[in-house]
Amino acid sequence: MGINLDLLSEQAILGAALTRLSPLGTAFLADEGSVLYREGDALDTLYLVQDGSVMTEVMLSSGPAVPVDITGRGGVLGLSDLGEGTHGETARTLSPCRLIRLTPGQVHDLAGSSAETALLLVGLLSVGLRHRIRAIADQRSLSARGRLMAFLLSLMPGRRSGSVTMRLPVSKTTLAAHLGITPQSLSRSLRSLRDDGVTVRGALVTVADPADLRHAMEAERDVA
Amino acid sequence: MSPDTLAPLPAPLPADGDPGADDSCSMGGLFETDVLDILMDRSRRLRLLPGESLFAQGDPADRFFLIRDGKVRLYTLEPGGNAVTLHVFGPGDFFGLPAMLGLRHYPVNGDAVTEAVVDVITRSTLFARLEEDGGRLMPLLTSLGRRHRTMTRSLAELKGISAFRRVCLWLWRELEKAIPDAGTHPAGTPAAICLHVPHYVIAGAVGLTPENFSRALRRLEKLGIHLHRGHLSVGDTAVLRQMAAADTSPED
Repeated sequence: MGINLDLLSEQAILGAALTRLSPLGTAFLADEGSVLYREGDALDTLYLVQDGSVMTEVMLSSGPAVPVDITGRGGVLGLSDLGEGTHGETARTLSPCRLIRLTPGQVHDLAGSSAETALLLVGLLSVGLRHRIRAIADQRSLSARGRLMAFLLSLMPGRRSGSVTMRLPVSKTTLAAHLGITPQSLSRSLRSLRDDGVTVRGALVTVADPADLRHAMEAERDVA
Repeated sequence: MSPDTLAPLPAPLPADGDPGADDSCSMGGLFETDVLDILMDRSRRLRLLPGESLFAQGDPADRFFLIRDGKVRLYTLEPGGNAVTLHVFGPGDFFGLPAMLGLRHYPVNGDAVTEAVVDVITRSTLFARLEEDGGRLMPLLTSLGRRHRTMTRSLAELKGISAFRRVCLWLWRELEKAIPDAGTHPAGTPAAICLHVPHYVIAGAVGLTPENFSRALRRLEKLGIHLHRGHLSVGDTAVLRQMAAADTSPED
């Protein structure tokens, strides 16, 4: 049996996770703001996101929890905790979500069931790791403004042109923490994006041309 | 250097490559003997000199690496030529797998920081193993999970902790590794340890440019904390502990 490399792209991995893992668990709906698990809780359930988005955050030794990632459709929450047996972060839904509950035992059984499913699980974790590496690199090499651009672009994957209006999935305070800046810096950065075709009204953000914004972000990276 | 040009795999290293012996930068000591047992017999071994390149950004990502000894850093180059260190791996860590599994090319550069011994596992080796018995690679999943947790915490610290405090925290963790009871020292207790890590590596580990790291060191000197040629001397360990624990915002 050969393994098809094309199956390893991010979209293919997330799609395969939905197809292969959904039938194994039990589906349920979670309201916006539901805490699925807290950092330090025993790992008794993993969650496959079928619809909606979930924010994960980490407590540091002092200060409020720090948002680290937003997981969307196809992502599996808790997969990185299999070896430890406890959750390393807190997961909170950002919108009404449709989720699939999986047990650690089911995931272990799945890993041993076939080469392709083992690869799928390793691939899922690899997607998460690549996101972390990219986020760390952005945190180090992009300005606050550049990180804000990157965040906005992440909300419209694949969009190349045409005006896009979207609702921010988190409050501005949480967004500031997610970007590693103060709320005041976020306000300044949002204002500074007007020249790049970004307008903000409450939680609604309109991007006149995603391609232009992407070019501006790359330029930001070049001068950082 | 291409692993393809190397001689066949020599005998495994003796136990002096103790993964816990010097993992000051390994971000967690991810050594998994099960993974080694599974993959070692089909891997190749590289011996690298400090600064030697393992792969460059854009090279085909068809292999991943397991460090037996020494340290390797991953970094990107900014347009101006500055290197941005993303991660430093130590004995027992493996890296390159996420790129191998999802990308055609390495998105970053990988160089040896010290003399290093690295095992190379190609995509075809991994896939052959998976096809034989996918379940035997559960330890790989576990190790990737631990890496994910470590990087999650690093990311949170980058976002939530000021640059100066990250330096203090890094130095404090090193001090605690070397002197486990440092946390109970009464005020005024001095300490000195050897770090054996170049400054640029520490700067990378805490997400600072070398210039900003030097500024942080000058600020520390005023507190009686000196880092010079890998030697850390602390006039009062309680001061460093306090600075590492201080509640400061990322933009302080």
